[in-house]
Amino acid sequence: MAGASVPTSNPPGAEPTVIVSFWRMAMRTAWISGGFTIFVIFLLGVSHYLAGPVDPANSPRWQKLRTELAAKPTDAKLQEEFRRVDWEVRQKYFYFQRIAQMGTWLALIGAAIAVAAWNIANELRRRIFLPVPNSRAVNESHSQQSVAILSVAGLGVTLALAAILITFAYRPPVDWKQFHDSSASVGIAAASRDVPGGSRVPPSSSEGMTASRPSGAIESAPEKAPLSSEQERGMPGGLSPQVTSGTAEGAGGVLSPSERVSQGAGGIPSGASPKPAGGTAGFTAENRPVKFTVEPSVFRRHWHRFRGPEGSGISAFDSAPIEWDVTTGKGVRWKVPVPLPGNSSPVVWGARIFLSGATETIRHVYCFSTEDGSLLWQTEVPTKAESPFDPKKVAHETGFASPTPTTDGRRVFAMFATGDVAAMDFDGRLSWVRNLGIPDSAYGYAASLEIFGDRLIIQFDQGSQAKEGKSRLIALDVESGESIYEVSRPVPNSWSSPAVVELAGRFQLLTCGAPWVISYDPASGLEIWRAKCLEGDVGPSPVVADGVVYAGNEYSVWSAIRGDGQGDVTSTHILWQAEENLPDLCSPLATSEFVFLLASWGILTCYDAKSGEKLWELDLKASFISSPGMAGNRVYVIGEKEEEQPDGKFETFGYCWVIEPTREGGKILACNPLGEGCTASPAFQENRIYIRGRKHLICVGN
Amino acid sequence: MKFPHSSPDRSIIRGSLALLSARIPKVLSRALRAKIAHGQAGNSPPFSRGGTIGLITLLGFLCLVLWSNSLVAQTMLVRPEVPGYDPPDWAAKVQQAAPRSWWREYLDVAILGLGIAAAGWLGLVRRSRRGLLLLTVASVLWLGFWRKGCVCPIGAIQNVSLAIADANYTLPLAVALVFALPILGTIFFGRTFCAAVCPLGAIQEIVALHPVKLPEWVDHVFGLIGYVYLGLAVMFAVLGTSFVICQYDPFVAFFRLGGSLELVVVGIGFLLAGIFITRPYCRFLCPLGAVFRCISPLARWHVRIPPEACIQCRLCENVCPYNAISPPAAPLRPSARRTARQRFLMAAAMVPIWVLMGGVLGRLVGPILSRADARIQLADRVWLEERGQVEGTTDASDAFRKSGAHPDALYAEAAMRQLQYQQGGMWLGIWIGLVVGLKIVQLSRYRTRDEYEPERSRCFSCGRCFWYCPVEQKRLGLIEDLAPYLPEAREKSLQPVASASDES
Repeated sequence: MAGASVPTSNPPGAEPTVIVSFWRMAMRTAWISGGFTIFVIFLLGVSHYLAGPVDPANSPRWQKLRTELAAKPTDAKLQEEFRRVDWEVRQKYFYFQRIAQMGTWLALIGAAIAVAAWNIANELRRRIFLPVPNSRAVNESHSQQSVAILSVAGLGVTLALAAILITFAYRPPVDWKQFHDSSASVGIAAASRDVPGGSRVPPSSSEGMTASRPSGAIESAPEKAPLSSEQERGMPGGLSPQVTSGTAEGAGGVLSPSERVSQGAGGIPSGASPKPAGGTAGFTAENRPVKFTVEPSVFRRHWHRFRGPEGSGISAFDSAPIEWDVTTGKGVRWKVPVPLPGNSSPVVWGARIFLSGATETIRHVYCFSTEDGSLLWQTEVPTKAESPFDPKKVAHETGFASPTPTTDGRRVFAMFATGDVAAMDFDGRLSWVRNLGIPDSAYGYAASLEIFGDRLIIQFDQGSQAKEGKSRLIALDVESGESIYEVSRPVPNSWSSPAVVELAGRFQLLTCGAPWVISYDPASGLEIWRAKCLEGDVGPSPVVADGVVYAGNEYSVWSAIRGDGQGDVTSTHILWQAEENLPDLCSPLATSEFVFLLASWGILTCYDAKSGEKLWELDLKASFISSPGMAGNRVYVIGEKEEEQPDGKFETFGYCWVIEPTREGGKILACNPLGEGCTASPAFQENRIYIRGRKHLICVGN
Repeated sequence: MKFPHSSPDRSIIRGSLALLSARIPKVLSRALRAKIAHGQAGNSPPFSRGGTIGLITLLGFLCLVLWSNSLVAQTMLVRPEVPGYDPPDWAAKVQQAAPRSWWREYLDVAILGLGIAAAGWLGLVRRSRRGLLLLTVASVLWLGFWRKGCVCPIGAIQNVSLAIADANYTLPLAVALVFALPILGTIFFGRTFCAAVCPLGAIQEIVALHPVKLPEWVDHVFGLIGYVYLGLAVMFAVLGTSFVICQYDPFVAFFRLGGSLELVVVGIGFLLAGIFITRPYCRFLCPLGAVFRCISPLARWHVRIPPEACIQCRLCENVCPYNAISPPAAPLRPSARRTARQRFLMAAAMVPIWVLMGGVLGRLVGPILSRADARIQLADRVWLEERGQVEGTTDASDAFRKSGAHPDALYAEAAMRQLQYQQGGMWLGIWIGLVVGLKIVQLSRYRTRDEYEPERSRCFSCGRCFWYCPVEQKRLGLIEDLAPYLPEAREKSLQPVASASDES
């Protein structure tokens, strides 16, 4: 404790005795609290060293049992033992967490007292330095300056030597320089080509880069070769995507680049330049890898799009409330008004709920807090439409904000009936707005948005007939709004939403539009397979369970299609078809056991997922627009009923039926009043359901 | 001049009353005055010069940082971005803070602005070290423990860099303000933000219990690390690697009462070192401090040691633990002036050489820095696994394969990323070369001074020196006469001097 000598109280010039007393008191306090702090830290260290918090997943006992359980998964005794050990290690872990937290607080308080006391002591015992005359002071300053210059120069030289040493001493595991040194003429595919011996060799500088190298992020595996070859032949009406082109030759024969620009397209990004495909300029994105800011698996914990992950409508959480009553407030956490109307459904990311609303002239995106429903922000989306928008062409039931927004965990994207697509950050600041052109849709545009890595996917189906060639599958760069790919679709207008799903060991983008169910590679826009099984106006979106795609619509058939096909699978991969009680608007629910179809006039029908046999039906005596959801083993369907009021007028009220399905029938567990009509689909999170009524956003549950 | 002695029997009561009535400055001042008057002021400095203990502490501390950094680097930088790889939320590259309503964000900005204004007022107008200390404590409590170090202008450097480099990155207005306000404050008032508002500086200021004064060259040399760190942080932010300043914030574990063991160890190391070496992070590492060192000399107003004319009593000569008080310097003799000019010109001529060398070496080192990139790490791993050069697989490589993506695309991306790092390394090298070259130029410049002045780039405006200045004591009415403080040898010490070479 240098400098802590007890001050004397000898006058003159000495500190007053009271100062000495206080100084002593402060020093003792500092030492005691400092000692206490060190003691607490020591105890924390010892406790951490001896039996500190081991990550439960790293516990040897836990790991051993897990290995044993993996070998004998049905051993009930082992399961019980594993549960017990798991509980114990977690208990221990959290016990030490609590101890550590308490210890940290104690140490912090002790340190704060010690520091404060020591500072006070220092204040009371400040020493004065009256230096002796020193005529060499300035010279010393000069010499220090010289030392400093030499030191700085020495540091510079040391850094340079260190850089040289590191450069020559460090051998990276792989020198990627070998690729980019020859990138002007050598492709990476060539760089890593297979040789007969089975090993792969580095590139040779003489090999030329070919346009056909399979370097798409996903669409490049050898087994997809047949598809690639067909694309290159550019078969019209075949399997090749009829890409939007600069010529009118393609079957799609659609927008020229200049038209794309005139409609607000941001041009073609460098990574997705049009690629010749059999004489027709293509606009796919085989060469542009997908960037995942948030891994796809993270999306499963959120409800980031229409009907949640993969558009399945099935919650990752088993827990969802069963009974509530919005009219009385029972079981309702909060209920807040939504400023503008819309049929779009809520999407949820963490503690934020996103929603869109619009009228003929105004388009809004809202962000609500999941905690109390407070409106965190609302952003008005300006229109970029260059041609006049006729609101009369949009059906009243469809409205101007039917497409459900989506989010990639960093931005939120919304689309409106005007064809305006907007991206904004989580604070509501617009990143970009783009107009895809006024949609030519019989009832108004309604397909929701999908996200895949850095691609915002839009199923832009329009036109009364497929041969008009207006429909496109578009992927926009989430950062800039520029098109990554635009693929022509051989379908007329539809109201079904696309869904990216994991199917047959890869990601597939499923779309429905009469007469085709088409699967695309979501990274490049290249087609994988298609099945001809739709007819008329298509509203329901496709879903997947156990590797089977379920799609269909009223006035056609309902089909179960195996998802591992290539090319036209109409005659080879359709497992079964059904024709009874098919939905007009509502998307289905599919599990490995059941497929539920909800017809707009109120019939819920359950089919056997394997055989297509109709198991039962339930007449709910209501009309349905909202698609059903599922949490745990319960199906949630939201419908509307017209009810006569005391004044003789009829008013629409919404109800949510909670149904427990079995093979024998559906048992209605509850019919929960919503207090207002509802056309949007519910969003599920742990213990909660978010429902957008016609006027309010409602949070049900705890 | 008579010292009012306190008799022991009545001293406690009177002293307590004096303390309660906030008369302690007066009591202390009288003690100071009595010591000077009775010739009892020793020639020991107010705190140890402690070059040896300081250097040992500094070296020990650097070893700790290097050791811990290697651990932290493994745990924090290695997180490849792989489809299907599900990292814990805290490890996700993009973390979203909990929703915070706009008015709360701007409340933070307003509090920061008020803090900077208050620090300027306390330092420049009130000249109150005590007030600055209270503000320091408030900053630690509010910006540190309550806001968990998130209102951070230091980290905002990265957001601003990324926003400049990437037009698609939206810089939140609140973050822009958090970055801009301290800079504006420094332009007007000097480093008053560092003095009492920055929670990182504040916590170090509080623990500076036994300051030792390091040799001046240490400040000059190690102070350059901050510029290197700034360059690295900007490069990694621009290339989208990571926000290293946030990842390696040594005090955030304290403010959040939790963090990785390595960071806690580094944080404790900084605080323990900070007991002796005042503000080690601010002086040697802080990237924003590096920016401030360039701006502060241009400040419109800056704290002064004496409130009026300096009487050159030399009482402040050794009170600054930051070596931030420059003594008076007389004009050089003509011969010495010529030597100094030659040295300056040579230093200036060397700048392009330093820059060129930095650029070339940086370009060589760039690919090595690219090893911090998660995609390149993954590409390395997949490449090695495919050739059987490593055993087994990692979660990341498993997840990558499960995603269905083809390795070729990954290799292509790795090659492209490495090119970017090569360019980034070149710019980083140019920056470091420029910093070293200009630092030598700055040190080669000879400036004359008539009085003791704060060395503006290094002065944290902490106000330590106020109390020791008799002119300040007189301004406060604590003493009446400055005569006892005038050194007899004043005239002699200010004679024009020859340079060291002349003398030799």
